[in-house]
Amino acid sequence: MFLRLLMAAALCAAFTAPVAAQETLVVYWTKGFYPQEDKALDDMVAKFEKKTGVKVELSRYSPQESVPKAVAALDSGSPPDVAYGDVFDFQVAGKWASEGRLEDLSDILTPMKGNFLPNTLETTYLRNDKTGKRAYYAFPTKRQTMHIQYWKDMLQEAGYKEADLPKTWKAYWDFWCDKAQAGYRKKTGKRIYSVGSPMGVDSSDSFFSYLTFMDAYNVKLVDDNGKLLVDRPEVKKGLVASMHDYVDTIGRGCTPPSAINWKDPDNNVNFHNKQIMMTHNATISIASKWLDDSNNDKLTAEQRAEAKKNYYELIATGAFPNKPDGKTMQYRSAVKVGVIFAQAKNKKRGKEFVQFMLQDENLTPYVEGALGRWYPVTKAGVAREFWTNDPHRKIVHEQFSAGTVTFEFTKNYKFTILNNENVWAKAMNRVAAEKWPVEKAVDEMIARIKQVAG
Amino acid sequence: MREARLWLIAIPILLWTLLPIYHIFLFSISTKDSAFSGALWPAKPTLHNFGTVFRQEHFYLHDFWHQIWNSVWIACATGVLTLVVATTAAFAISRLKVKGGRVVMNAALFTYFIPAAFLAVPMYKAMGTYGLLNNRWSLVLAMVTLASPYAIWVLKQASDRLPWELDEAARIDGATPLQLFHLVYLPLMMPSLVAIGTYALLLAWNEYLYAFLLLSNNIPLAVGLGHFLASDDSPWELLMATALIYAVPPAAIYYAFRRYMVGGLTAGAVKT
Repeated sequence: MFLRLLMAAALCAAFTAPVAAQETLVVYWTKGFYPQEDKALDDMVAKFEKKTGVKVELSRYSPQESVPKAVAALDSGSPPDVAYGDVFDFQVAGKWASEGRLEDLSDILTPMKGNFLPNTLETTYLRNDKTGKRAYYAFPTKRQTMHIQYWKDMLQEAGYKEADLPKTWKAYWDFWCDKAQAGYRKKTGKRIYSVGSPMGVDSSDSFFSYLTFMDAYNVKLVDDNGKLLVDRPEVKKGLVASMHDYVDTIGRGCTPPSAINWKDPDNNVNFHNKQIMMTHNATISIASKWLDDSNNDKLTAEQRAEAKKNYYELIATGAFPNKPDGKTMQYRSAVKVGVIFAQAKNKKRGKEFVQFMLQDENLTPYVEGALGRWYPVTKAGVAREFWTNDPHRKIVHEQFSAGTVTFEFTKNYKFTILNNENVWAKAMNRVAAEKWPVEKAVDEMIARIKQVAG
Repeated sequence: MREARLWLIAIPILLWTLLPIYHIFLFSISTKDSAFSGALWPAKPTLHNFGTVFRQEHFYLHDFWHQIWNSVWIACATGVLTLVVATTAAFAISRLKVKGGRVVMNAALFTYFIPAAFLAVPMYKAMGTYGLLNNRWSLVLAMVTLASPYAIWVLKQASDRLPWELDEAARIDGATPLQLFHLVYLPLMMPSLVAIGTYALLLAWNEYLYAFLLLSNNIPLAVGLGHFLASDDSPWELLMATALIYAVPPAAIYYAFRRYMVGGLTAGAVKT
């Protein structure tokens, strides 16, 4: 009898132990790329807990996991109070807003409007198709854009210096393909490739890169109201020209054939292994990795020294060449967003948390913890010396300072579906792998765009 | 000639099976720089990655011991609870011949018509209703639910093969059903119990989807490994070293109990 009572008590204790009287706030967040990022978030959470007495249950997920985890929670009716995912903007925020699943955050974001830079907060002004109203249904945290990274030492071995890099569009890509690659191969005998263009369907780098090429040709797929413009002849012409340029390097043997299967890490890996001389990447993660290594006390002194040399001497961050029309590039930036679900149990505290984290003293250490991978959304954030006292971050700062444009999905959320499908990389694969003419692949792509987002 | 043909089939299958394991091993003993060199053997093999994992020295490994403890806890609890549920159910159905036992067994087996992945969200909802989300018990209960039907079926079949005369003799000597269970049934069923316990334990040890959905902070290592993919510059050599460490306990358990595994899991599969 005693044994049974003991077992019953143990079971009750086991099931009821987590239930506590303290108010809790459930927060899902994306795991940081670097320890500093996670630490900044932990510090901010601790400060919030101290200030409010609320216990924050913080869980972290990889970017790929953050959407399925949030969707499962949402579908089962137990969403977190606050959720942030690095890919929410690309994949789900617009859709969730349209379906009426998000809480209107206008009451906390409108008073802060003046703190944000242009084309940041605006991207969270989304439409709820259930009510027909637009509002701030998400909160912006940080952003990213496309950069070029190249090995200066490989360029030198090929017989060139940085000053030799052409500034015009066609000459720039021809230089890497015809001169740099040929020079390096001849000098070293190594069968490396010059241009690491991501083309994998299962990769966000591939569509971010291609859409940047599309921007170079001034292609606008939607108007400000989200209406499709793909039937316009100049749009089709721009799509064909940009697709041609994008896949041209693989056709000429200047991009590794495996690039058609690359996932997001693969251009980084090929670059670090010096299998490619340059690549375009949606953050400066390639360079930042070496900065992180150079400060990693778990590595040997030699490894840290090598990392430091790579970061400060051998790797360069660059901007894209001028557009084919000769004008300078204006980059598209992806604004990373978090949300509060309409079904969340503790929305009041959730809003308090968001308001708290968007204060510069909390947001800045978090953004800077990423060592330059993410760029701030606030005026105070970009004004800091952090963005000008480093050779790589300086370029990032200059790119953003020239002004940015937004993704199509901020105007027509159905482009998130097209990005998830990666119609852009599918078209690349049609040309690169199946040898379709570019025009035919673009026609198929346009048909799909119209079908999904029309 | 026949043997040569068998070897022709066996060797490619063996290579196909071992190649991924070889790659895991190769990465785990390579330095970061040489992991992707494409060499069949690293120029300077090292055990440093294992040290890094055990000492939790990398950013992604700060919770290694906590996560592996969670894996052990969840797997053991699942194994024990599945055994309790399945053994008692099989005993009641097979030896006590309780009314409706056959229906219960068929109903349990019927659950296998629905893929486990389809039940993930309903299970998440159920655990949310019971307030068990982010509690290790939620995963244990989910795993027991998934493992029990097969466990009951195997144990029931094995139990049917035990001589009925033993029960009768015990009853004549005045044994109660509980004594029958404890003193006669369990000792005779031991090989099958070991096999089923191991099966349930390994099922929980290798589970990813349910663990990912139901747990948030108290995650097992299988989910923790997913954090390595948070970056577009993953430390593959550490991921593979961790994966190898994670693969050792189930492999050891399997080999320790392998003589029970085949016999235990197929017991009663063929009527004699």
